[in-house]
Amino acid sequence: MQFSSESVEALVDQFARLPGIGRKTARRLAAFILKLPKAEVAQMADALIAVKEKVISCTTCFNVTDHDPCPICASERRDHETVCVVEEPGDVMAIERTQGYSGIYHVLGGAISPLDGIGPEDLRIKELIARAANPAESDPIIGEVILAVNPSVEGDTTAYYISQLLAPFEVKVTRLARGIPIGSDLEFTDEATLTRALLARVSM
Amino acid sequence: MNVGYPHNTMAKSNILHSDAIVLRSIDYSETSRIVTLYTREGGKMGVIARGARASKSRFGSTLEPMAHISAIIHCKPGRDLQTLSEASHVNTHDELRSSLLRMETGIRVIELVSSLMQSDQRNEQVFSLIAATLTALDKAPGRTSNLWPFFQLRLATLLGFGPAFDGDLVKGLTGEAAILDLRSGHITISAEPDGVSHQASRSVLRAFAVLARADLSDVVRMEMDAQTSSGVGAAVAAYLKYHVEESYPSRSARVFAQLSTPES
Repeated sequence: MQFSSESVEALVDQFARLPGIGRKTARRLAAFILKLPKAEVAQMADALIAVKEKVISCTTCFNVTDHDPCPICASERRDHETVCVVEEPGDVMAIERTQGYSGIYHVLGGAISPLDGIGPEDLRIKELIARAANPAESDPIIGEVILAVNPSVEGDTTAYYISQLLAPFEVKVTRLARGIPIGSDLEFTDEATLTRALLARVSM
Repeated sequence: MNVGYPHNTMAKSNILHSDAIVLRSIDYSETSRIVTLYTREGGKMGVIARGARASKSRFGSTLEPMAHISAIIHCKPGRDLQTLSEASHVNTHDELRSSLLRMETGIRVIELVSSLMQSDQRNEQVFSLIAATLTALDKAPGRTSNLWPFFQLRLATLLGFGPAFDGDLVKGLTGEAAILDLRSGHITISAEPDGVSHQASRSVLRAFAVLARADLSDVVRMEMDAQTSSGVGAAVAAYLKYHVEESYPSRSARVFAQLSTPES
């Protein structure tokens, strides 16, 4: 199926650029937009433009924000002695959704990936070490850095490298536990994950 | 992605059961992964693992680079990507990811294989070499730096361009320096006419010769001082680069060079 309007086809092309959206879904989305009142479409368009115009990177933690410092870094309720290091801004959202963490963050902007040629200089690792080594006068000294990087080869490489760099400072470096997802089945858990889970077993 | 169609076992069935080493794994769409495997039965293959990114995925951690897995692949002729339906660990390589040094060697091994092997090249000996090298890297108590030059020289031999030196001549070398002819792999005292030579110390080229012919079990026990080890690394890299030219990968080496000098 093809729309008889060039404008609609152009919209389909734009939707099809989004991750996970094929042309079929893009056409459905375009058809949905056609049915919306003009005011609602304008709201949507404004939101898209605002994302590019207003959203900046927090100069402390490098999370996406409308204000610098971001609400998390500026909050007095947060524990500023604990820094959770994540790869992407989406990971901050994932951890915030747990409502189980009250510290602050540092967004690296990715992970070290030797096979892709992404090294430490392409990430915000220097800035993390600077935060640990020379905290701003108003900030408390960082007591713990939680490495919440993905449990992948890239995440492991990043974690080892950062822990080496943090070794000279009096800061506790921890990493998220690896094991069996809640609700899954032992029988279907792969051997490497199960081995990690056994090694990281806890007393009851 | 350039992906071939495995032969032999494929002629009888469109389901391929094979051991495989994961060379590369990239996210695809919201839930899937595209994985490059080096399989024992079909050589280098690209497969799609649907649902592999879900937290309760049946693939678990089997699709991480360097993993040695048992795979079930549904193949269709003419398709760029075959479908991976099942994967389980053959060897979990628990220690391989326990240090940067081990990871560096492992990643450079799979990067080289990925770069040099064509998608229609089935080679069981190459598969066995990769699997044995990764296992040695995982199990070796400490000395793993010899494995990278060993792997390169052995892979060169399996692909038909291994160094063809005379072992007795190497043992009888006199003087401080010697010559490795990059074209033939001969190790001599003076450069060959029309040869392309790499000069190194006698001890470096002796170590080069040993690594080219020794068993894996001896390689992990072989002791080399830092200077000799560095010289062997340079000689092996020069030899490989001469033969495979731009196909010699340098991306991960550049990144690991940054990781080994964190103070810069």
